[in-house]
Amino acid sequence: MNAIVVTQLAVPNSPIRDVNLRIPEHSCYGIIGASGSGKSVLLNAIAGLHGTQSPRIQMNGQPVCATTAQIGMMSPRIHPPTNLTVQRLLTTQAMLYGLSGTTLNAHYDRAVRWCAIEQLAYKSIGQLSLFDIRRVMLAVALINRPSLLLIDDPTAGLYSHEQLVMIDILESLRGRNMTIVIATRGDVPLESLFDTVGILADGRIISELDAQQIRTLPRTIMIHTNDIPSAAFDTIITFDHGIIATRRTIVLTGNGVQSLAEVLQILLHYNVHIFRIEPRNHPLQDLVKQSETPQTMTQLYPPRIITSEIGDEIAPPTEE
Amino acid sequence: MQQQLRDQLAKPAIDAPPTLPSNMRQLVVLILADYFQSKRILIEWGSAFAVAAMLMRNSTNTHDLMATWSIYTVLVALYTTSVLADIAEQPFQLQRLLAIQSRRAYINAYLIAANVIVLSCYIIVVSLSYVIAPLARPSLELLGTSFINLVVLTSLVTTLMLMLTPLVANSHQRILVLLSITMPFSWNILGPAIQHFIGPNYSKYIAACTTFFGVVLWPSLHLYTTIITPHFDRVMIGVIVFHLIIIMGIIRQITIWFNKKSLKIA
Repeated sequence: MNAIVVTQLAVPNSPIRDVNLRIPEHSCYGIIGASGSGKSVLLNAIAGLHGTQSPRIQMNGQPVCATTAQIGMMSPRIHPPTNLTVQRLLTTQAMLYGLSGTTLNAHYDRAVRWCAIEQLAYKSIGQLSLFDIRRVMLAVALINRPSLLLIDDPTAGLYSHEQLVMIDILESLRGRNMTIVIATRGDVPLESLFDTVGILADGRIISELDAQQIRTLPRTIMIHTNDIPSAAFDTIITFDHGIIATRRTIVLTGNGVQSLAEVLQILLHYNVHIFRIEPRNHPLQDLVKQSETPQTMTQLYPPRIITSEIGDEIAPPTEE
Repeated sequence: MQQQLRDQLAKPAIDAPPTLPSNMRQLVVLILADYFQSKRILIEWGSAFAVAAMLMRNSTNTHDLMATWSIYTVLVALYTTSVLADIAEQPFQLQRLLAIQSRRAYINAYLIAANVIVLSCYIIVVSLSYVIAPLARPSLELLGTSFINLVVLTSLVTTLMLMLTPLVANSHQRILVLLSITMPFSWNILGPAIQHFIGPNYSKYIAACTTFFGVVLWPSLHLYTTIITPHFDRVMIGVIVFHLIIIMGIIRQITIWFNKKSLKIA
């Protein structure tokens, strides 16, 4: 059964223009995309925060705005009041769900235990490190034992050892009868957590990979394209050291899904035609199949006017 | 399926009932507790002390005193509502919106909290004036009548101010509301200017507008007058009822706009 069903979601004034999504119940779904691809917007929409778009999102068969009490959300953008203690922060949030007495204590103990913040209970938020605050905010999201947990970039800004602990905590949340959706750029090895990964680019989920495909994802990928416009080329070669690119070939090494998502975002944005992805059994070969003819390509990715790219017109797709 | 989705999207943005009836009360308590603990309240309370010390010390005229109270309260209402609207938009507070589910309950909780803070300032300023301006003390009867009107005026100002904040309205809606407020108030200047521009042929339309705006403004001006020179009669009750209906209308509009609003936690 699907916990979340998103149908043709288009959020005005955002990159999201046609997202269709089915997230199975009690699974861990990863949304991976480049910066600015609309991951956070999508999470906000799933939480029912885009008022006019709510009917497009169903949670357990109901419009999401009627079920937000079953949603827990954690984001690096959330800054709790610094004058509160952790215990006070968690209990006040729990009281909003109507919890009190022994039930509240049970929920509090569980959230604190799951996020490994027992020793922080009596500290004020102002005394905590970024990593501690992140765990506390995860506990706040978990206080009502939500059926859907939305997490935005859980490891952003953390040191590498803290990232590993955070991954451990998230790993421990799997199998606790919660549907978990994590949006990430994919720059830390979160991939092991996911049952399914959706790659968000060009305002859509361009491809979904299951756990098996994620595990066997080749670490070196070669993408053959037609001529890449200068602006796209410059962006691609500067944003990651693991990328080697010529005007018609891009080689990605050892960066998992992250670099691939970012490169695809750029290629799709500039309407670059993808001829082939190697190895041939790569899950994203679908993209190549979809764009076999220029007509199909135009339908899939309507051309955009890029004024800075004089002379970089789309060449007819000819196999090299 | 497509048709169903289209039909759903064509309807006004829907709101959910609160998870529990007590949620809104709980949220009001939390908002006030946060406001007190963050020491923002010191600005309002400090201003009450400052106003009492500077403007009311040794005052001998009761109506001057009550005019100062009411103007001060309106200014505090404008300030407090804008601060609370800013707080209500913070991602941490929006987590509370997820918890209580209902956007109507959420926005009303902030409205109630704003009114509570403003009235606390009013109580402080009145109490201080009773101490520092003994000659200008109004009787308790006068004070009670004035207080009822002031509560209505404060509610009107806070709801209007909330309607004008980015939390609720987009810029087009705000311009529309601002125009509908400022046009009647500035018609004494605008009316003659427009008439001068378009010539005497349309003077009857300008006069009609002047009459219309005069009628529209009369209850509000009467409400303000009743706060300063309290007089309990049927007109006062009528004016209060009129304003309560306006306030409910504004709250309804706020809820409709807020239901459509895109908010951001992540």
